[in-house]
Amino acid sequence: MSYNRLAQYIHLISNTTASTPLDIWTPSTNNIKPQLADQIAGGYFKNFGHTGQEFEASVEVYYKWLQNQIDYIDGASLILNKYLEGDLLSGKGRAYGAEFFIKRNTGVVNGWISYTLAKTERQVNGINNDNWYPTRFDKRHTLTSVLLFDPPHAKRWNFSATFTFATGTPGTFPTNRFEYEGIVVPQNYGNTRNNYRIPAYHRLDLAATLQGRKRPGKRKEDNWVFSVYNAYARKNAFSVYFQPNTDNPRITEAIRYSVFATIIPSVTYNFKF
Amino acid sequence: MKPTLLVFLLAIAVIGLNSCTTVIDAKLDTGPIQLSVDGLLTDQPGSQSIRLTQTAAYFDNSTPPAATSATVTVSDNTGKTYKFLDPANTGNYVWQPTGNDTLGHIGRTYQLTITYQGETYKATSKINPVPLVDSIIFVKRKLSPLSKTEGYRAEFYATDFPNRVDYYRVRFYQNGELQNKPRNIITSQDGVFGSNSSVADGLAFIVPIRRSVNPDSLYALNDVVKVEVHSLTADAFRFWQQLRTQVTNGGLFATPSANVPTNIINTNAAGRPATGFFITSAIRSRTASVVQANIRVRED
Repeated sequence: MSYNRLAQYIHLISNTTASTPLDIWTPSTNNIKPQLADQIAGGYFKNFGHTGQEFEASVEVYYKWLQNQIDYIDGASLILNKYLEGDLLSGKGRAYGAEFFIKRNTGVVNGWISYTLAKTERQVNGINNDNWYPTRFDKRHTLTSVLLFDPPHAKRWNFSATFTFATGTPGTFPTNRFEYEGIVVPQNYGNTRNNYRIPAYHRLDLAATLQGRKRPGKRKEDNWVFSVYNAYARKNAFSVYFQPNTDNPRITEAIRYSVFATIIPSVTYNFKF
Repeated sequence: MKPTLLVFLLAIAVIGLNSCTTVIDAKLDTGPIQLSVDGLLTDQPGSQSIRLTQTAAYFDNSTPPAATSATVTVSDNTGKTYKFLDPANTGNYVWQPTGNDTLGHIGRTYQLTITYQGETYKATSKINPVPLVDSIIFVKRKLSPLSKTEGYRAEFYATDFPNRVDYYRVRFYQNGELQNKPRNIITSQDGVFGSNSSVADGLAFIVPIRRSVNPDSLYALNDVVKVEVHSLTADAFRFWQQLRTQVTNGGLFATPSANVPTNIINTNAAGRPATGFFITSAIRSRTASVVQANIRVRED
C-alpha cells in the first residue's frame, strides 16, 4: 500500500491532434496554479513455479486525484499566443486503473506480458458542458508482451518478438455539418470534448540475434541483429483529422495521418573491443 | 555522398511523407439536427435573402436539407420591419423591395427574428462603414518561381478608415464566378492581418491582402475580375476567422475541431441551439478586366 502527493510547477498544453514537438509547456503563474496529485496504490507481488523463481507476477491498483489541471478553451490558438493564459481553463482530474504483470525468468521460451486497464478523466468548468471527459492521454487497454526464444540446439541464435497494443486516444471531432456561403463547416453538437477515439495502435516487432563465434584468445565480442519493425505493416494512426476534399469541398473526409506506416527491416552489427 | 544518392534519398523521404495520409472511414456519432442560418444583409439596393437549412451528419455529402415554413423578419433601429418570404419552400427566404426601397443602411442596427418549429431565434448586427475599392491592377507573373506557366496577378487598393477599429472581409469573382474555396476566405482588421492593428490604422491595405484576390492559376488575359470589400462587426470577423481555421485544418499540426461561434440565440435558453451567423455588411466593389490599360510592370 502506498500514498503519495506530488506537486508539479510546469504544465503541458497541447491542442494538436497528435503529440508533436509543438506541445507547449508553461510554468505556473499568478493565473495558473501548480498541479497537485494525490495517489493511493495497492499491490500484490508473488514468485512461484520451478525453484520458486521461475515466474514473477504482480497486480497493482491505483487511484489518483488531480487538482489544477489546465486545458485549453474551444478554438484556442496556442502557438505564438501572447495571451496564452487567456485561452486556458483550470479544473480537476482523476485517474484510476489496474496493472497486471507476469514474467517467466527461465526456460527456452521466456519473457513477460504486462496489461494495464486504466481510465483518465478531467472535469473543467467551461469545457464539455462542465461534465467529465476523457483526457487526450486516456487509453483504456495497454498490452505489451515480449517473448524471447533461446533454441537449445542453435547456441548462437536467439529470437525475440515484441507486441504492443493500445486503445486509440480520444480527440474532438465534429458530429454534424452545415453550409455557410457554400462552405461546409464542421459542427460538434453540444460542444463535447474528446468525443471520438482514433483507431487502436498495435504493432509487432521481430528480431533475431546471431552471436559471433567465441574463440580462445579472441577478446572482441560481436553479434548481428536482424530485426523487423512493424512486421505486419500496420498503418497506425498518428492523428486523425477532418477536412473538405481539396477538389470538391462539399465532400468531407476523415484523414488518417501515419508515421512509419510500413514494415521497416534493419540489420545491425554490434561489437565490443 | 554522391549527389545522385542524395537525390535518391530525398525522393524516398518525400514519397514516404506523402504516403502518410489515408482517407479512412471514421464512424462518428451524429448529433440532433439544428437550424443553421446563412444570412448576409447588405446595403446594396435590390432584394435581400437569408438561407435557412438544417445541419446534417458530418459525412452526408448531399445538399443540406432546407428549413422550410419558418417566419423570418428583420427589423432595424428606426422601427422598420421587413418580412422575408419563402413561397417556393426552398429554405431561401427573400425580401423584395417595393419601389426604390433599400434594406441596409450604414450605421443602423438590424435584428433578425426567426420562428421555426416552435422555437424563436434572434440575432443582432450593425452595418459598419466600408472604404471604396480605389483600383485594381494586374502584373504578369509565373505561377511559382519554378513554374513555366504565366498568368496575371491581381492587386486591389483600398484605404482603412482612421481612428477606429474596422473589420473587413474581401470576396472576389473571376468572370462572374464567386471564388469561395476555404482558402479564399480573406478577413482583415484595419487592412492588416494581426489583432494589434493600431499601427496600421488609417493606412492602405497591406500587400498580402491586396494580392489575396487571386485564384491558384492566376488570371488570363481578358478575364473580368470583381473585388468586393465587406464591412463586418467584430463578432462576424471572429466568426469568419474561426470558420477559416476549421475548414483549412489538417496536416501534422492539425488542431482539434471546435465549433465556430454563432450569434443566433434561441430565446428559450433550454431550447435547441442554432448554428450559423447573421451578418450585415456594407459592400463596395470594383470590376476590372485584364487588359493593357490595367496591366502594370512591377519588379516584385
